[in-house]
Amino acid sequence: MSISRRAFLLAVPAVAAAGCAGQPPLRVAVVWSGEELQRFLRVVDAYVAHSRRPVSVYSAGDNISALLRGPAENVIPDVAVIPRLGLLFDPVVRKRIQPRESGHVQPEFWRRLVTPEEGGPELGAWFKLAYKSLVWHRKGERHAPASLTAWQPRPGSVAIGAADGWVLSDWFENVLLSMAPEAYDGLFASATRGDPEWWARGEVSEALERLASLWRDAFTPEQGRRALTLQFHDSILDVFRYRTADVVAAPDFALPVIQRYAGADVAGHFRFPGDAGGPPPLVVGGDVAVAMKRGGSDALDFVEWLTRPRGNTNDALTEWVDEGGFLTPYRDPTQPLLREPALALRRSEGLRYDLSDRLIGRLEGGDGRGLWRVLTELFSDVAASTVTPRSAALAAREKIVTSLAKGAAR
Amino acid sequence: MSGSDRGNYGPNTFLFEVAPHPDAGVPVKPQGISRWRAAFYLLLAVLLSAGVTLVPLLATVIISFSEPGAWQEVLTDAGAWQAIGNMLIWWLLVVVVCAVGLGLAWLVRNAGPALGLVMRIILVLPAVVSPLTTGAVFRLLFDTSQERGMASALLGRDTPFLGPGWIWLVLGSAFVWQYAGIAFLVFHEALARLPADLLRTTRAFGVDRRGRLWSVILPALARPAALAYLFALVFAARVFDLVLMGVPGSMQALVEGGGLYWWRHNDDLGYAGAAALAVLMSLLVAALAAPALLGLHGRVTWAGSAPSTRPRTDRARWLWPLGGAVSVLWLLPFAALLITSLRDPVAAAQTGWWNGEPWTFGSYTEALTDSAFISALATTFLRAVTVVAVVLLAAVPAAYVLAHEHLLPRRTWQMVLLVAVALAALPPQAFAVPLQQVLSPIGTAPALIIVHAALVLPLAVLVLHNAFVRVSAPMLVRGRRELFHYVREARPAVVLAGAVVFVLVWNDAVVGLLLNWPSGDHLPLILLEQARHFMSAASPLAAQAVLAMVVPVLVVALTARLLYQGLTGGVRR
Repeated sequence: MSISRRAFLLAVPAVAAAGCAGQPPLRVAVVWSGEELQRFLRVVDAYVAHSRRPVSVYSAGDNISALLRGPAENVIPDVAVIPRLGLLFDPVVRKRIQPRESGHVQPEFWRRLVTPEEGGPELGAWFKLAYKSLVWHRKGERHAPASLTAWQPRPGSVAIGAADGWVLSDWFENVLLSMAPEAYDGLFASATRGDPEWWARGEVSEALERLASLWRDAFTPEQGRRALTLQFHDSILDVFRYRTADVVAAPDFALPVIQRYAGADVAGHFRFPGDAGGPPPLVVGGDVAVAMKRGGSDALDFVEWLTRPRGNTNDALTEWVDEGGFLTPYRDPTQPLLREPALALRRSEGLRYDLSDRLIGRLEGGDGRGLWRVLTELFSDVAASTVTPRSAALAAREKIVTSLAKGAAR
Repeated sequence: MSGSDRGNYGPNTFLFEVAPHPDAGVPVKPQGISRWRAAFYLLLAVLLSAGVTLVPLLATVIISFSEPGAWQEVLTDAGAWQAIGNMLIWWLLVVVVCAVGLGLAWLVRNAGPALGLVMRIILVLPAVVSPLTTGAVFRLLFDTSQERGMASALLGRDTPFLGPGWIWLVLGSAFVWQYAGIAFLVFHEALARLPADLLRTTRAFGVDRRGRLWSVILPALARPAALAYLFALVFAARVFDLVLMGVPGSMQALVEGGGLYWWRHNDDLGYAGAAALAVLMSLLVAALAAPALLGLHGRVTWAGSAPSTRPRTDRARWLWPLGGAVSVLWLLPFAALLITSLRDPVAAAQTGWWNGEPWTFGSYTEALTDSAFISALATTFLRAVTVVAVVLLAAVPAAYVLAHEHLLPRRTWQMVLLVAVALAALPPQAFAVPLQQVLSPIGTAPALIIVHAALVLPLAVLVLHNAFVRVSAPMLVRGRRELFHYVREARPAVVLAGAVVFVLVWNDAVVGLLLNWPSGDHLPLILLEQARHFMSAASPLAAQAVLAMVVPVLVVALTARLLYQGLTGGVRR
């Protein structure tokens, strides 16, 4: 049954006008679509049954920032589940958020990410976490390089869904974190804004160049042009269905996609390689549930309900965790492939939060803009064209620095 | 307008002539309507146009100068220039659309009524489809993988059609597929009524083929060419959802026009900078529209001659295979969409539609049991119907007054109409910023209705105006009743205006996204959500697109006869 939700909300205008609307639904904006959205709706159904408050879920996709920043107060949702941490600190959005004053205690690493001032209230609660430093391959085949420096993929062996900007930014983050963790930290030292000066440092340029060389090795220009048209799911099909590539770097939520198109028990993975002698990188991301001011106390209740530790009880969310594609610090997945990543998240050792998801302003991602666009052009230069990795990396750095300067001038 | 005479309008005279007609036939100098009443009739249309387009447009111009350096920043922004450059490529596609329309119309000009009818229906059908759906279909057809993309499969190897360079071929095909039908319709009508007498006379006087082309045919085609150009230009200037759906994220920056660029970057450009970019885009569109406005303003007409029917059977015979080939090409995208929607979602994500099995109604069941989709269907329908009502309420009295020049001299009205045409071509970004601020307090639903109504109003006024000038003045009724008489007589044009408004609002994805009211209850926005993982959503997306397409196709099919009358004269026959 999915009668609640949007249907309710959208049928309401007429009813409301007639003055006989019941309790208005709680409006929840998310970014998922397809299978993930269906999963989320199942989780929410339990809330509707439990609280008798109708809930309408709207998938805003990548337009969620426009939705939350928009001038029309009356379409601001009551609750938003946001994958871009930076958005919480956007001056316009932050004013519209109801901070969490009570509720369950979140793990320290995650709590700090959503706390603007030390000791102050948290802006939201983490719902879904993602482990972004995995490289997936077909079961039984070994491709793991000894280190990042030793990784010289032969053309065509790596699948990259370069049509999705976040795939490229995940690559960049993993390489940067492997090579220069201090620069990674410098860019985002505190929970709020990092120090943009770090973008101009040599470490960042070196990481960009290393990344560019990797991409250059992994593709012929023809294959590179092809990769520019492939999305995340397509790159998984390339490895597990068409078998045209050997490995694909993808987060934990690749597993349900692999199972859907290639069947169970066909995949293996290894950690994204670290720099020679250094530890492997561990980039994490996540979706944070936020109560907006206009949602009142019900919104806070919903956020609390949604993100609470489930203990030993089972519901649609624990089912999601068990089947894969959803990590939380409070429960271990039953999928053997995901146990190790889940454990690493729980141990909270050496985690770094996704850099591009924290950027706001001119570098903020999105198709055709910000860091996504810079990295897409870098990919295009070296993988689909014949620009040398060095000059492509310098050009990318230049674009980043110019963007920042323009943003600062405003 | 020399030679145009009310009495001489044949049954198929094409509707769109922007300049008013002189009332040479029946004297209809009306006496019954006062200046006050005429002003009252114009009130709603003026309020909508001024309130939603003109005043915000002026405000945008003022805002763009409100911060020093805003213009300089936009003019030195490489991204903005790339977007402007892309607009010029889209403009080239406008020319291609007109050329294809003209070429097809020229080829089948002597084909006889049956083939003409078939071609008209098949070629115009895509114009009813949302650009989002068009984007989805062409992305399916041109997928890189030879397992899934038909074009790659025909070549026998993976070909990055959606990648650098090739992408313009895909977008060009999609744009031509969608809009060449309108150009075809305009040219087909015009060619059917080339001044045959004049052609015969010039031939008799020994003017050669080339001379006849320059002296008779081209002048006669100037006005329809201007019209077809203007239509395609409006769609190109507002191109938005076609790119969002049809182009992979990595490629969008390379092909996006000003509208999409503005949408992505208006925050970065700042308040005044975003306004400056909007003004720049408006100027560009106005400059590109100018030649068409001159063409419409010209003195050329084909109205004097009856449609020439010279069916030459020897030519008609080889025209059928040609017509068949064009029809297959034009119907192919529909077939691909329909078949994809009926395939198992997992199979549709991995193999192309021609692989067929396994069949299932699963994607339809999913869409029809998805309360969000169904409620968006209902809300969008309600919204579109409401906008039709508002637009007709505003446009009918306005067009009536405009058609009869009660208030101002004729020349002034010509100017008003030309401005209306220019407004119809402006991208909504041009006035979005001030509009957001003014309209956000009144709530999403009314705001969307008002903006939609204002955007399509000029088109509706044009359609109605052209029909009203052909209605013979009633002998007995005067005053208020006269308006009803006009509506009754010009019923086909009223239906046409209503249908055009309905289809445009139903298919819109721009206004909702652009004006930052992504309330998620508009059908195309629900479709757009699926584009996040395009290929793995192919089957559900296709099913939703088919369901979304059914409504406007039904609207057009049910009113087809009236629509055709509306297009070719606007007056009841």
